[in-house]
Amino acid sequence: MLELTGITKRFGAREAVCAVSLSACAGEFVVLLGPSGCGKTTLMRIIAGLETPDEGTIRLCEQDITRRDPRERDIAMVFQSYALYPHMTIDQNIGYPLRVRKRPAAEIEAAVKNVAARLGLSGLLANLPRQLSGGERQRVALARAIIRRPKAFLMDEPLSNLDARLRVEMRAELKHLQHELKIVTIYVTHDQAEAMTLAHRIAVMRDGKIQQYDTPANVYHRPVNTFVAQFVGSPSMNLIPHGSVILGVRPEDVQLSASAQTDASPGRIYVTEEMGNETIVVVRDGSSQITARCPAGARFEFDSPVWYRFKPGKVHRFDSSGTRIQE
Amino acid sequence: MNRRRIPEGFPWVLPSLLVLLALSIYPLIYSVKLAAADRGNFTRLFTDRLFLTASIQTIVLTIAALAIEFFLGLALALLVDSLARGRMFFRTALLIPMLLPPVVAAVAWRLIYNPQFGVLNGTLRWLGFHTAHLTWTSGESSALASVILVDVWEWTPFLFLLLSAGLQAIPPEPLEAARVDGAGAWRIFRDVTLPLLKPTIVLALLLRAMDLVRIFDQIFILTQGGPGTATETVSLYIYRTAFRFSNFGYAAAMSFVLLAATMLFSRGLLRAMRAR
Repeated sequence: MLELTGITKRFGAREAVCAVSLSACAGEFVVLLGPSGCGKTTLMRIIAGLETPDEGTIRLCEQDITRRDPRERDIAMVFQSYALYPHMTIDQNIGYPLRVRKRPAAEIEAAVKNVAARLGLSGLLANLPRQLSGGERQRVALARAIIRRPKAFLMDEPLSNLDARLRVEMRAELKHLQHELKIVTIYVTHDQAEAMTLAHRIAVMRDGKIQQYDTPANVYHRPVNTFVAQFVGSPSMNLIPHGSVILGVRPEDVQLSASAQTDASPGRIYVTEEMGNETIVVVRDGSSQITARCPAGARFEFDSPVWYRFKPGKVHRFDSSGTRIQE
Repeated sequence: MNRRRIPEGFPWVLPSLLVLLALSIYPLIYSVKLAAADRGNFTRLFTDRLFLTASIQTIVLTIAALAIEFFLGLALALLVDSLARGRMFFRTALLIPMLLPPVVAAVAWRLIYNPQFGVLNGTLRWLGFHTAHLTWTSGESSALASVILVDVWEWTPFLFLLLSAGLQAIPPEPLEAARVDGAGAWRIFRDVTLPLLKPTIVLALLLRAMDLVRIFDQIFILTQGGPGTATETVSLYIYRTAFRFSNFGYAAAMSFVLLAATMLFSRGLLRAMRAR
């Protein structure tokens, strides 16, 4: 469906994307996840045609589109800043992709009305973008993308400018919308929660390379290296050096008890954070720091002694370079 | 203390206030007095053929120069903006005409235009053209065009500079969005670039138009308004009336009319651009 092979992009001497290969099936929701500067946005811009790769090919629906102009790719994109046309009204914004394609006015009007109704924008069509709230603008950007039923969607951190509550709301809407439209979607984010909740598959990127490309469950439960292990999951996975290997334990796999246990190690409470539905406890053991996720209501005093142990079978092992050791 | 207090800072602004009064406010009031002293000054305007000719020539010159400078400046700005490298070089190089003192530029052009010894006709002769009939600023029919050419040469960089800055200020995202949405270069320019550049365009046209309406120095040096009155604009006619014929009252009346016309023109332009 969408297939990238050996995509490399250099800016001067710096390799922003190096030899990335990635494929997405029809209707698949793929999330590119990584810290800022990891090349995920560049990769997306290459798919859109806004950047040309130095090496590699892009195929969309069995066609090589590597050298095609953006307008000949039939891909729609939602920008982080929404990139609405500030001088056009909302209905002009949404209808623009169809107007450019010289579709009959009646058809455009009907399509705009249809999409606007679907995204709850019907009452705003005569307004200018600057008269809209952030969440509304975001939906306009989405509407403009879906109106022409493209072959693929690209979304560049579309939710990052929204406040926390709205972000979670839009996340769910987006997921449902994608499910309805069944159009292959490439979604860029640095937010691991967005990646986990939205994706069919996550591509975790770092320094222009894909570290792991797998389902959210596998990325979470079988991270290929310490980078992926720490980047996915909140709070992050505990990494504890242990001889020549590094042990990795998710906070929910750390058990605490206030009294001495035979197979537990002693430590001291550093801080506790009550989240309401759960409590995050940070334990100090010498120089290392272990985060545990405890049920709501767990009570520990600062600096009080505590014993921690790891749930059996839940410990990940990485070698000294950070690569997962396969059991 | 019951009496009204003088603001504390008053003594400090007093010197500049006095200078302003002496050099700006008083002359303004005086010129109103001069113009109004004889009601005939204003009625004469409507029957003065010279004033009519000068007005028409001013309008022709303003519109022609403005149009050419705008399209040339916009084309250059778009061209330089699209360059991958060398932008700084071209931007600086294109500004040179504007950086010359207008008087120097005008004197240089008078020499260039000289039918016998000028470099323009010299070059044309060298290329094999007959130049006997090319009299440029001294030709009745070519004088105004020659004056316009000098203005275009000198002030296109100004429009280029403003429009260039305007293009730079357009955020890249809407342009990229238009590309992805399927627009070609021309549609992007028409649908996105031009509308976003509009505030800059209005400002540039306005500034340039106000300058053109009261153009004086270049014409004074190039042709003195001649031959005959072929290049006489309103400001030159005002100058001639005041300082050659010493009719200060009539000159003052004309300058007020010129001022009013400029303001009306500016308002008209602003309104026309806003309505679009």
